[in-house]
Amino acid sequence: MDLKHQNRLFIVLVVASNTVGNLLLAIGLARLPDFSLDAPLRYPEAFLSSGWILGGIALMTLWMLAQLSMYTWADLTYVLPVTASAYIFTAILGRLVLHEAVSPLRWVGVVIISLGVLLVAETPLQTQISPESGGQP
Amino acid sequence: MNWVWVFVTVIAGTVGDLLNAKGMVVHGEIEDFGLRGLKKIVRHIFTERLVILGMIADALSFVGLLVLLATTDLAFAVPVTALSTVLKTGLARWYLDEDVTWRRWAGAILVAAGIVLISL
Repeated sequence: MDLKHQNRLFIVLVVASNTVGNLLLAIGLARLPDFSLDAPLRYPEAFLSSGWILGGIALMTLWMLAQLSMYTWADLTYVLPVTASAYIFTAILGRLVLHEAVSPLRWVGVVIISLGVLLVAETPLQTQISPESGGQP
Repeated sequence: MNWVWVFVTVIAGTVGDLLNAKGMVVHGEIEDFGLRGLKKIVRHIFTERLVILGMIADALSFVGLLVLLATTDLAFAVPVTALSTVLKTGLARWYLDEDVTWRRWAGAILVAAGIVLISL
């Protein structure tokens, strides 16, 4: 697989694992019982036996490993804005799955993030300036 | 007191990502996505000093964010994380020798502004 396709695949992997991981954690945390001093072990037991939360943690671990892997071929200032598209999908999934209200201002935020992602996605993956090049990338 | 946690969240998050990126560049571009290559990258992540320090800093930033979420409004806590996006962009030129062009700056500022709007 060439670097261009590998990079696209990892962007999808980072964004999807972050978005779905956050969604599973939100669903799992909302279903946990309230913490009570009368039964202090009930909360951690419910936490550790929740499939939603364990699935969310597994996906967030995958997200971390995939994002760290991207740093081996792409700049930090490329990876961070491009993978910020996770915020867009989190807003969309929050609306569709959790039926959260998304105000017009939040949709403006989604459009602005999309513009930022598009701007950076057009830049080269790696621009590190080597000392031999006299400061030129 | 909240400003102490804002400082912790922003600075630890920024330092964490800068150290992670620097530590992963040392590995070089991943070319082998087979089992051997995956073992190599996981071993690198858990043995490279810069990445370990980066993950500790990220964990500290996460704790700071949780404290802010517990003590302030979401509309205050989340824009704080947007601040670090801009700070990371500024420091990447110096610490990682990245060529931060106007497109990268504009992208980072638009993303940060969008995060602020989403959290309102």
